[in-house]
Amino acid sequence: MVNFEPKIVAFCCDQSGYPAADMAGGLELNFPGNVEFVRVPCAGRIETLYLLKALERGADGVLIFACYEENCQFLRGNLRAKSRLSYAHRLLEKIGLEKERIEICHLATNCGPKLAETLHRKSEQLKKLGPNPAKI
Amino acid sequence: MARIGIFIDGMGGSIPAPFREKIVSVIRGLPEIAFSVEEENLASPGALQRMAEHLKAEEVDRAVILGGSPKLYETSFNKFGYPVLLNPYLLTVANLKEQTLQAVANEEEAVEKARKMMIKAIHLASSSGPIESRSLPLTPQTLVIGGGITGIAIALALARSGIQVYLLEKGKHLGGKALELRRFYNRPEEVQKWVEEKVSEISRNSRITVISETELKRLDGHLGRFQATVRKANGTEAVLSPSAIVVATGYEVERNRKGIYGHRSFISFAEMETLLAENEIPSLLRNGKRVESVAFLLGEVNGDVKIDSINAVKQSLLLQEAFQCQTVILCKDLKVSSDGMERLYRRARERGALFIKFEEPPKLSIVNGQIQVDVKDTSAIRKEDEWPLSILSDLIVLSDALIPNPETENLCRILGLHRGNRGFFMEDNPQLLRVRSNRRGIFVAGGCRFPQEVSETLNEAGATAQEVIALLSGGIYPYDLSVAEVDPEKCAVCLTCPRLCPHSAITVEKYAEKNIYITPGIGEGVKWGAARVDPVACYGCGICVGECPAKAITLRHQPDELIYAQMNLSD
Ligand code: SF4
Ligand code: SF4
Repeated sequence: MVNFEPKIVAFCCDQSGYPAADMAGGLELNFPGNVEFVRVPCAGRIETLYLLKALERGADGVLIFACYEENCQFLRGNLRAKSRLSYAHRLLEKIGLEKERIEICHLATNCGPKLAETLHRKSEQLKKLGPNPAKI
Repeated sequence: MARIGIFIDGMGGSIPAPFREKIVSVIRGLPEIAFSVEEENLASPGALQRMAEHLKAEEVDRAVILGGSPKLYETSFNKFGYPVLLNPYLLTVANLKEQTLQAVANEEEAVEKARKMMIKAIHLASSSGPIESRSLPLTPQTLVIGGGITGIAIALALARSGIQVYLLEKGKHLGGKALELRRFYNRPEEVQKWVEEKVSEISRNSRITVISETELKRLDGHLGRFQATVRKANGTEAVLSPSAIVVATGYEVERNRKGIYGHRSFISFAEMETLLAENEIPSLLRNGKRVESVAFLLGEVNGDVKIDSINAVKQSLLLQEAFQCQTVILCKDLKVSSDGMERLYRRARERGALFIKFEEPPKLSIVNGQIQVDVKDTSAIRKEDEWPLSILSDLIVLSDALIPNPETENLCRILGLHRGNRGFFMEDNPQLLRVRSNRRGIFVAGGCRFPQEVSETLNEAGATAQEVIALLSGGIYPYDLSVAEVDPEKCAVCLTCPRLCPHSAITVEKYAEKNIYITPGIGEGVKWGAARVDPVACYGCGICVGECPAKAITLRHQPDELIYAQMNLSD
């Protein structure tokens, strides 16, 4: 496991996460090597199933970049995402998978550095956890 | 097989030519790639023109852009129009700049990453389908709820642009709260005269139908096809079919005078207005007694002191100039940010009004049947100079709490709107979309959003009228089907989605048979009900899609497959 580069699926809300990712790139803040961005119209679009399927299909970790609370363009899309996340956490616990693999991060358009930092922290954390054993 | 055209954007040199070449070389010659062209700045109108020509000449049905952020292209496409012949949903962008070149330090890794991004974009483009555009005819008819000055001003502005207005008022007369006001702070005429004039203008205007003593009972339908059921005080009901609705129900005043505040020296701003209007210059009498000194005590009851500040300075000036009264304005904060207020404030000071700033609320006591106000003036620069003061005034004007209209809650339920700050109607976005509500075609204006001063309200009425005119003047509402759609076969009518939709775009409707929706009023044979998303009202956020326990809803422009394709994982 020397060269383990965790694969992260990062769901990005089109209002905050996606522009923040653009900004992070524009500032030349490096991303960890293995990140796939998924652009969604609102964090409320992200189904519990997507979070689990991502792990099942080979991601080592999943991140949701959503707007700050009370800042959702669609009022509570970010809160829906959060509650689906906690549902996914409960399911992960049941099957004995580390729930840290899925995480939500609240940010705004101008939070490029926060996004890059979160990705790096996640990547480090996943390196410690090791590859996702639930991959099929 | 899809035929894909590739457009490579150099972004003015940000993506160097050798790098581009390394990436495109892998896909050259693949059967589905029709052509690849390079542009130095693809988001410019000239390049978009050339893009359209290429798409036409090569008869491709999908396009992939290798360049910067998709947001950039979306902005310029929205501004200059999508390249002809291509449905906007058949175009995908691989972000080689922000997400690759600038985000990966090592050149080799960047090439690797960029190739992956390109393949992903091509895959996404070939698995997406076109989204149909439609348009909805709009009749120039509106319903304005509330006959206060906001409603009056909006109705007149709409009528001037040829739009038919039903002006709904629950009371007998138009005018609302403004009738309690005698003078504007920034206009010479009297409020009552102004209102009278406007009301008579309304009665002469054939485009405005005033429906008084009537309330809204029920609302069905969406933008362009609202069905509003209204009920008169005598119980008769009528159905109106406006294309758009404006809510302008204003606010209420809550007068809470308990304990010492019940003393006869305390009056409200509204009572002061009446007093000023009833008395003959130059002496101010109240209950037969001459008033020589007046104090204004601005409370913190409303979270915003703007309206009270304006009223206090305005009334104080009138008291000083016309009635020779001594005035004191006690406040924690004073807000003179409205148009012309700075000047009025200075004039009041010059005429001798005292402004006292306090930190701790003043103590009130009754001394010889008069109210004594004990307060520490903290406006001095040095702490030692702070004075404890005792003020005895003939009258003390108090702030009243300005609260939402009691019907607000009920109206929100009927209209499918949200309540925000302190229970007032909530706007879609306080900075950008101030007068739009969460529902397309319904606007909220004036004091029903938050208490406002008359001049602000009139500005807002103008802005709202502009929005409504912009919406209705074209006669059609163009939209595309990038929205959620329910499969009525699968829907279990659990009512999760109608409750969750932030834009009240989902209702439970009747279907005749499998997947055939019956437009209300047409045809028989009602078989069963299921949730239905109105494509005009939906904003495409996908919240309902993510939540439906039966997985009965799909987002047409972003089905599950496209999400999984974006994850770029093995199947
Ligand atoms: S959430 Fe799904 S099952 Fe429930 S009412 Fe809506 S469409 Fe029907
Ligand atoms: S996609 Fe959003 S706006 Fe459209 S119906 Fe669903 S929840 Fe409502």
